[in-house]
Amino acid sequence: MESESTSQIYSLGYRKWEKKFKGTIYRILTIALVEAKTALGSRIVKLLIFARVAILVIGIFKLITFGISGITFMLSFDALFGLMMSPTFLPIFAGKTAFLKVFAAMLGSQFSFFDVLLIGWVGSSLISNDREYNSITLYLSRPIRKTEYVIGKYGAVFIYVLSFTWVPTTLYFFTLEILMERSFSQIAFDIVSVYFPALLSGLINGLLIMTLVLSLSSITKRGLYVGMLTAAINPLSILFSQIMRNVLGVDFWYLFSLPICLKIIQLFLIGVSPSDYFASTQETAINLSPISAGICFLFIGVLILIFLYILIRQIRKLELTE
Amino acid sequence: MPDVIIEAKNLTKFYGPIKGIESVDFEFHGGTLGILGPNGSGKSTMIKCLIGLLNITEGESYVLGYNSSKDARRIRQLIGYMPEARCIPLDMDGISVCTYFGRLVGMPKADAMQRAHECLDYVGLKEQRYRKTGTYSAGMIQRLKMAQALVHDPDLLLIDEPTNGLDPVGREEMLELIRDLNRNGKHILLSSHILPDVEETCESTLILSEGHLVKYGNLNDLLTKDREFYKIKVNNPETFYEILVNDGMMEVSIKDEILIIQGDADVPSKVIKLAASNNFQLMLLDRERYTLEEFFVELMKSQDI
Ligand SMILES: Nc1ncnc2c1ncn2[C@@H]1O[C@H](COP(=O)(O)OP(=O)(O)OP(=O)(O)O)[C@@H](O)[C@H]1O
Ligand SMILES: [Mg+2]
Repeated sequence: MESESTSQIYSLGYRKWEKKFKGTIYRILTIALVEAKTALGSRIVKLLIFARVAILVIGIFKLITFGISGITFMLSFDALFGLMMSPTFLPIFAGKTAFLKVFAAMLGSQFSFFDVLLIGWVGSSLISNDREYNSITLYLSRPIRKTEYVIGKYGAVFIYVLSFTWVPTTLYFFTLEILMERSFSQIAFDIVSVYFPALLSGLINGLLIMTLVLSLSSITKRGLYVGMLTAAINPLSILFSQIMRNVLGVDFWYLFSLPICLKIIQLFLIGVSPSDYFASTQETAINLSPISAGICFLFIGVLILIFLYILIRQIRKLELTE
Repeated sequence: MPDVIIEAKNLTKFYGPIKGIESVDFEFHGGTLGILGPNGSGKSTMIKCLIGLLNITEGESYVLGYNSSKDARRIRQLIGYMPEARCIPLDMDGISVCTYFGRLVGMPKADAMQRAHECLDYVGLKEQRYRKTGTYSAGMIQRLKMAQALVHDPDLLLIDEPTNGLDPVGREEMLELIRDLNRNGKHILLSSHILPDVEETCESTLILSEGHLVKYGNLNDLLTKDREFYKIKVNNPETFYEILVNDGMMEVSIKDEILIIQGDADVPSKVIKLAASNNFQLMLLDRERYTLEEFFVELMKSQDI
């Protein structure tokens, strides 16, 4: 009885599809968009996004209500989320460079604790779940190369990364421009010399964390481990770098802290001297060598390459198992 | 469409030192082909080699005229593959999975969505299609796997163990689906270790054992040829056994005092003659057919020797 109805439906509703296949780019974009959307279905992801938006709104609200020179409250809150360090140094640097300094402080490390957690969460499940449930077989039974599969997954995380760095960066930037009543020519100049470099710095941050998360995700089948490891990386590396600096007196201590390393790159890109910046935000003076930005670039670049290598090797190695 | 749907030449796959399949040769001219073999005989390995999911160690194969290693991506546009393992992503609903994998073949979103609904209707997944696949029963997963293999309207379906985990009703529906697909002009390659599955759906069969091709041909031919045997009961079976063997009868065995002889229609007359000339008392001479199961077991046994 059941079988009769199935065959009937088959012959009735069966629509011939003229078999015009779309190309590689379409398929990669499909993976990225569908995966990003699917991740949104998770309650944890929703919660983290909500927290992220709340922080953003509070940051803007603080900026508007307290003005740019009086922000000193909620320091611990700021420190916890690594975002919007209160620019207590502003009175000292008021004047021409104020805009840059405030902006740099607003950006913080450009990645909040929540961002890392969220990207860790989204990214970790992407490949490890596929491995655990063998879905990768289903992907590869489509005309999809392993590299296309990885790029697609990368794209899914990238969508999150972009929204978490570029949206806040954009909001801070234009809020600040308006608050400081900058002229149009100044704004135009800032867009080229500050805004775009800030976006670029966000991109570098994002690339690093994405690659890290995905390569971890391809090593283990357990998404949870990846999320935990990723979340632990920031605090651990800060701790480690402080030990290097204060206890062991290592010159390149900043290399042991990913957030500080990324911050140095960010400052360099938007045109603030890292030494000046840290001198004004930290209690103790920090000696940074003039080439620190270059070293950080190199270091982060190498890290990204290493993670990428691990990722590609893991994917290559994937013999399909059932 | 080419004449030869699937062609394997000396197809060999080793997983490191572990043999998957070795030197498999066959041509499939369309219709329905069942791959039979016990667990670990290389059925899944063969299917994966054909569509280029695994790197072939030696030899080559062609599917719909395309080389499995070089044009794997072209092949995968034209075939539908229903894998053996679960494979379905957990955190999506059925309709999304089906649409998604349609799009991944290259179907535009609207087409993929409409075809996904049609295919899910066809396999009989109703409102469940809006539920997360994590909540699906084994039967629903099998149906969804079938739907995703159909969504891009392939000419050839490679189906790995379709009745796994299905209850008798579910199994019958799945087999009817496969027969119906064949009636609608799809070529079908089905793998199973359950003989009746193949018997009920396939015209021809390919039997694998420990990675080797044992038999390949029309199912009915194979069955009528080798499936008959004679049961003989005599007063002194051991001695009569010797006599039969000495007379040149190759395929004789004794089981529970009963002699079993494989052979064609001249066996009875020979046996009667031998019994009479040697003074044996013939108590039973019966022509019987193996059930498919027994046939299969016998075939596997003869393969060991
Ligand atoms: N990924 C793998 N790595 C190593 N060996 C494998 C792998 N996959 C299969 N094999 C081996 O290859 C042989 C054939 O396996 P295959 O899965 O093709 O058998 P099968 O006929 O499909 O069995 P089943 O009925 O259990 O599905 C087995 O000996 C198996 O151990
Ligand atoms: Mg198998």
